[in-house]
Amino acid sequence: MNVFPEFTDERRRLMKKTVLIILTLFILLCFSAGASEVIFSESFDDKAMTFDAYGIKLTGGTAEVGKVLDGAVETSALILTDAVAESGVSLHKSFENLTDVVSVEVRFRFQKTMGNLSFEIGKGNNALAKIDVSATGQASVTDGNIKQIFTGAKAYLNTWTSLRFCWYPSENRFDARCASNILEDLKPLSGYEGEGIDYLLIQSHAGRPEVVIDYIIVEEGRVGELDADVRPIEPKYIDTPVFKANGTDINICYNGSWKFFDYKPVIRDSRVLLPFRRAFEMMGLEISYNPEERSATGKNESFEIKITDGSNAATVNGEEKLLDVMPQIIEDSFYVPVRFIAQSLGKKVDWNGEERTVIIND
Amino acid sequence: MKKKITLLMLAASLILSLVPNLAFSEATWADRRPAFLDEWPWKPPADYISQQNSPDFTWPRVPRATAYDLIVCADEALTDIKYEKRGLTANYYNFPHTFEPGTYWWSVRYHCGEGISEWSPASRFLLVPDAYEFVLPEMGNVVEMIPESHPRLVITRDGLEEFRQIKYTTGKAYYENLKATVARYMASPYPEEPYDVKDSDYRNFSLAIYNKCINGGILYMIDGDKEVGNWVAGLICKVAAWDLNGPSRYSRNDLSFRDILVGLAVGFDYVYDCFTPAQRTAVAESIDKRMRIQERPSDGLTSDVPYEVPDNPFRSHGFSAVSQLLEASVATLGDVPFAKEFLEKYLPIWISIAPEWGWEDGGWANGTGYARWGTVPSSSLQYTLYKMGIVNLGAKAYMKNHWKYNMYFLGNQYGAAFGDESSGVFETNFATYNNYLNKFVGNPYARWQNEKYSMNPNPAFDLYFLSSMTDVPAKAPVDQPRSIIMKDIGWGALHSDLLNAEERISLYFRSSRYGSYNHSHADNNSFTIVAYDRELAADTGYYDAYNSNHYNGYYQTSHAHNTITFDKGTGTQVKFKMEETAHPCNFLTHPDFDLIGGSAYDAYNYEWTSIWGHISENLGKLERFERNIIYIRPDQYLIIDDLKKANGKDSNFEFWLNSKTDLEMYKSKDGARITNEDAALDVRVRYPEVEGKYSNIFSGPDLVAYLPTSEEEKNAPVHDRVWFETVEPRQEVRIMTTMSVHKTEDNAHWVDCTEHDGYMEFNFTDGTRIYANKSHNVMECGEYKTDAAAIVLKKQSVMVVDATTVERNGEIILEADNDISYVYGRGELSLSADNDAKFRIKTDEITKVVNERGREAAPGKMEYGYNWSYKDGYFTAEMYKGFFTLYLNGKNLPGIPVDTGKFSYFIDGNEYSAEMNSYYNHDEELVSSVNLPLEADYYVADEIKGVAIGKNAKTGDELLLRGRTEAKLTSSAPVLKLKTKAEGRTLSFAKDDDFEAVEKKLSVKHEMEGYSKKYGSGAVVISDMYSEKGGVEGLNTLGHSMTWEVEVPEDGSYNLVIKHASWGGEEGFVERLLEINGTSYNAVFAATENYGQTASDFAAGLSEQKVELKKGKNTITLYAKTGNMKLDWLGLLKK
Repeated sequence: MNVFPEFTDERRRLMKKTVLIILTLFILLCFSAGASEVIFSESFDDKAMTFDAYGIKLTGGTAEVGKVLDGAVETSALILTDAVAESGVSLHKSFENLTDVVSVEVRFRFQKTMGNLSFEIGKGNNALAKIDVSATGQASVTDGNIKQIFTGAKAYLNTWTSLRFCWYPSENRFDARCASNILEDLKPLSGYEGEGIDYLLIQSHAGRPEVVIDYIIVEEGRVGELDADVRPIEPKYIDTPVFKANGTDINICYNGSWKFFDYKPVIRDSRVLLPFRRAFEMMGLEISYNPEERSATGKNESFEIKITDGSNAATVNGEEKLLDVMPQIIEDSFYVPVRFIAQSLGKKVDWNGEERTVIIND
Repeated sequence: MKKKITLLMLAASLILSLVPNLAFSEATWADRRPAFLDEWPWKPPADYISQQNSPDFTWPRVPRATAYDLIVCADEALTDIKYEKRGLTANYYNFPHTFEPGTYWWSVRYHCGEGISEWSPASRFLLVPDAYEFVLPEMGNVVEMIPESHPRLVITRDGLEEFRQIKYTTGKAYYENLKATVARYMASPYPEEPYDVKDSDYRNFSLAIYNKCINGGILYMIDGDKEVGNWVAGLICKVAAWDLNGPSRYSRNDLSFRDILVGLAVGFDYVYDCFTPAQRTAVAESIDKRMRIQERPSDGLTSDVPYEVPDNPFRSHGFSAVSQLLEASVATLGDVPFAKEFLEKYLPIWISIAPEWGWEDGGWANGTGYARWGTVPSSSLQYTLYKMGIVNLGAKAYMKNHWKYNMYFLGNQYGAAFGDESSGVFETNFATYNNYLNKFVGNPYARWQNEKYSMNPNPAFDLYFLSSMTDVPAKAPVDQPRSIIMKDIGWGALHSDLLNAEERISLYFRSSRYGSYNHSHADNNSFTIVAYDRELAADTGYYDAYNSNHYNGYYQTSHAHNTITFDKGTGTQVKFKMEETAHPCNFLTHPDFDLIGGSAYDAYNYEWTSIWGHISENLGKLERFERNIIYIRPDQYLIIDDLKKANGKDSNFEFWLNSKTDLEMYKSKDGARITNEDAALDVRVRYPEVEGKYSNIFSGPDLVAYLPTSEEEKNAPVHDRVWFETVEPRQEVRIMTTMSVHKTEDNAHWVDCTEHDGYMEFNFTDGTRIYANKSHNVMECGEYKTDAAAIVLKKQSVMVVDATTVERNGEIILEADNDISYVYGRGELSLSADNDAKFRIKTDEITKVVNERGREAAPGKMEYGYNWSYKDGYFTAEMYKGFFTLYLNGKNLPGIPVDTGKFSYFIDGNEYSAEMNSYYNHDEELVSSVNLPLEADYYVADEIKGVAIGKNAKTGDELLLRGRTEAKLTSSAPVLKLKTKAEGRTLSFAKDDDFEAVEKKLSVKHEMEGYSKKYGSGAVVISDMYSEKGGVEGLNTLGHSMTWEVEVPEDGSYNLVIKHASWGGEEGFVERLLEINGTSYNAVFAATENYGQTASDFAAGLSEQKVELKKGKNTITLYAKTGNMKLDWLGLLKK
């Protein structure tokens, strides 16, 4: 499985190496195994159905992928039917004997009111756990010998429902979920000897069933890695957007943050000018403006700068300095040279001509 | 002893009389019978600003009440009674006179066996000076005002002669079509009782009967043809005799039962004089029985029916049945005994509350899907009442404002999609109702919308109902705000541009007292976005059937809508009763920013236990859910969701985003992108930390999918959704989310977002800066110190959201005693408050205030809801709760005409000129356009510069222009030179009825059904009347075409021959554009005698001019222009 699809092969190799090192360290530290292992995962994509390919044994009834059912085409689901016999249909999936924590999940729906449907896991001929879904959609699980009803969930007709068992052998208990309703700390069925799990049996018990199986997943892991909770559906991911200069606007990147201006930055005499209020504020200065003098002052505890419209002389901490571009009023807004102010404050100023970006850092 | 008792009684009565209401305090408003689902609303609701003078008054019905007393006072203590009506027997009333504009408090009490109840709490309303005048005269005996003669629905006997003239004038084509339709009806036998009709076909069966009665009846009224009248009467007699317990019984389908009943009753009115007295009696008896069943059925749908309406008017089937039974009652009064009873009982109710899904603001709360069906039918009754002089409901504020619902909530392909089966597309039924609003109410914008969308009203409705009324000239809504809030239904729309639905960006918002009731959904405080005519953030799922698994488990739930849930998907309850559980609490509109907000916490606090069951007591789940959406024009938004759990409990909250097209999640799991063709929307939660989850099945977070099951939808595409779950559980939080709409090929706007102590700072690329408060504490942000939820800054404009105090560098900018929101700048001040407020805002000097309807609001008066003054640099006001836009110091409202002279343009080299229409838009830019009086035709753009016409045609493009066309002038020196595609070339086709003789002479014959390509509605029809049993019909819509490849044996000049039947053109001619090997001709066909019902109706059309054809394959295309044609074959004559 390619776990790093977005990287180049070289980077992927490096990443894998790094992950392996981290994993090894983690194992050494925790004396614990890695992630759970998927033993069987099938979502019945649209391909020729061979039971060998799926390792499934069908007893009674028929199974097809992408069969037309009552006008609805399921191109990625397994459809179990028995339109003739009253004995129903059984689907038996066997796998290697699993002795660690095991989860088994099936997503299914039934298309018509039918006899009871059961989902069973166990070993050999011994059932460990069983979920029954009645003709009304009511689901129950047997705890030892006592039926527990999933009161918070039903398997509605024509509605996808997921069932999930999670077996914890060391604690001799399992959790079971129907839809989002979880029943926990259930005891195995009486008669189960307790040496692992090696089959899943889906079986209808009467009537003429029409069951659609979306997927079956069997996983093995350790305590803490698997549980009976709802499995998320993965979306298609895209890169989280980053700022991209458009090549025409002048951009200001201040301490790694992009700053934008309602009165746009301009270039005059090869120098970038900014509206004084936002420029001073960006650099953490308190602002005042004297309309009679048409001068702007910015200050903090240790610094004060005063710039006047139409004058190439600025006062920095009481000392007069010469500006290489004239401050000016453009469209009613007073513009000041950004490089001069930032450098006066001891900041580093760079210009990326390709992206037309002023980069200012403390 | 007697004296003692008398004295005691006197003393007791004296004491009781000194304490108001004490003697009768056992009867209270709280102990009125609990409503089943809902009850009549208190109207006007508390603190309402009414636009109707005088307003409608309604209050809950108390079953044991024998009478009600209604008072309207000038004071809250209810001592200064200005208007009153006592002893009312109904729980609704309209005063028969107008009020003085001003502030009032109203109250009502009821009389019952235990005495007189308390007065209801004084409820304030403001009647503004520019309210619409509506006076409902004392109804007296309405029944006597209905004429005895027939017909009487819409057209009365007095107006019949005038109505009959339409067949010679405007209704000629309609009349001819109607005649053909009825001839088709009459060629078939009458329908039999529907024993063999399947349930799935039954509604179509019943509608066919309705249509036959109505269309046949109208035709009879137009031309008085007794054969038609007798046929309709015969149909009515036959259907009326059907077994009421048989296959057309009520319980099979209430709507079908109603179709048949209304068809019988209305048809009865139209062809009244065609019945024998015995027939009339039999039909009237049947209608009487049917009306009684429909009013109070005992089987089938028995709850949502008329007799429930006096208790609860919010019955979708019940109320519309009332409307149609009233029409039936007017039609049959005098013959059907129950008609009088029904009219007396239900007409006053209907007048008072129709439409039940909206009120003064003109909205229709039950969704655009049902508005399409629900608005038109009641108009015939309205119009009838108007014509009979009973009442002019067109004067109600609802009718005056209803055009806004169509204008603001409907779009070209998508609009507001709230509610069952809603897409918000503007379609024929809306055009039909717009036409009614134009003619009956006099609204110019409604006509503009029809023209803009090239959507014609239903001709039957147009001509039949409104034949005697004239159009009001169309006017573009350039003088109207770009955004709207409809406070009664709780719907809002923020548009970048109201005029151009194909290019605009629109956000629709809902926070409604109608909750998820009936056809509404659990979508309070949700939004949808449509941009560039594509649906982006959407309401998902399908309306497969009412109460289906999918409907109840997904379609109606909050998961299918873009709102907030908590703790793994707990949303608003579905099928929720109507109460004040959600309402719009903010609305501002301005050239730079808009704001829309809703409060919906209480909609989460109840639990519905079963369909039509009861609702539990307030479960106290949420204490606060206010969503504010700040719109940074034209394409960016910041959403602030202010949430607080009740009872001090922590929760995870989820922000939902649904899509019907591609939905991809950011790798950072805090954002997502929806893409739909050329439009895209990026959404990113900025605060607090969230984790996105996803489902591509119709499910909530439990990933249990509810699939649609109807035939149409079970294989339809599944929709996607993401929900962003707050990572850290909290009792309260403000979730802040930015959204950017953009073209798919472009990047989303970047927003720089910085977290500070107490607030978030957002910098948008257009320079807009927002400080958004993370809590309800005072935040110190930049130069500002404020308790606002947000401050928005751009140049000289500032918006403040929900604040009592704002300081800038120590100077007070806002001071208020209650939260207010405002935006100030560019000569406008927009104000919004969810509670009354007193405040002052730092502004430049303000000397004059004009409201959005252009009326001056004088200082020192509360007449428009804000009593203002300007003092010491502050705009100071006392303001009622509400939303107000103020134009300051003489700033012009948008849309005022500016004279910019005439525009010259050229067609086929001839110069024409048209007056330019110019005005300044909302952004103070000069906008100019011209209305070109063009013939509907196919054109080529010879030269275009600075003119936007058609779909932004460029020089060399072909254009289809459908008559009068608006062109935008986008430069100061615009140039427009068009030529018609035919450039004056004409082929005239003479008519020869002996087409067989002509056929024998042909050098080449080509069957029309053998076409090579087609665009639009032309279709091959198999019929014996055609040669080779095949022909083409329906190629009649302007713009539609068909092409044939005709094999020609040798080069040469040929006469073209087309066998056709044609009708409905002008002056006996039907026109087409004929293109032969790339050269276009205007083809004019002499029309045939009739409509091509049989082979003998056809003729051979022979071109009088010859055309040059080449040996081999020749391409011939026919484009529809005027009139209708049926086409059999095309031939060539060499000689």
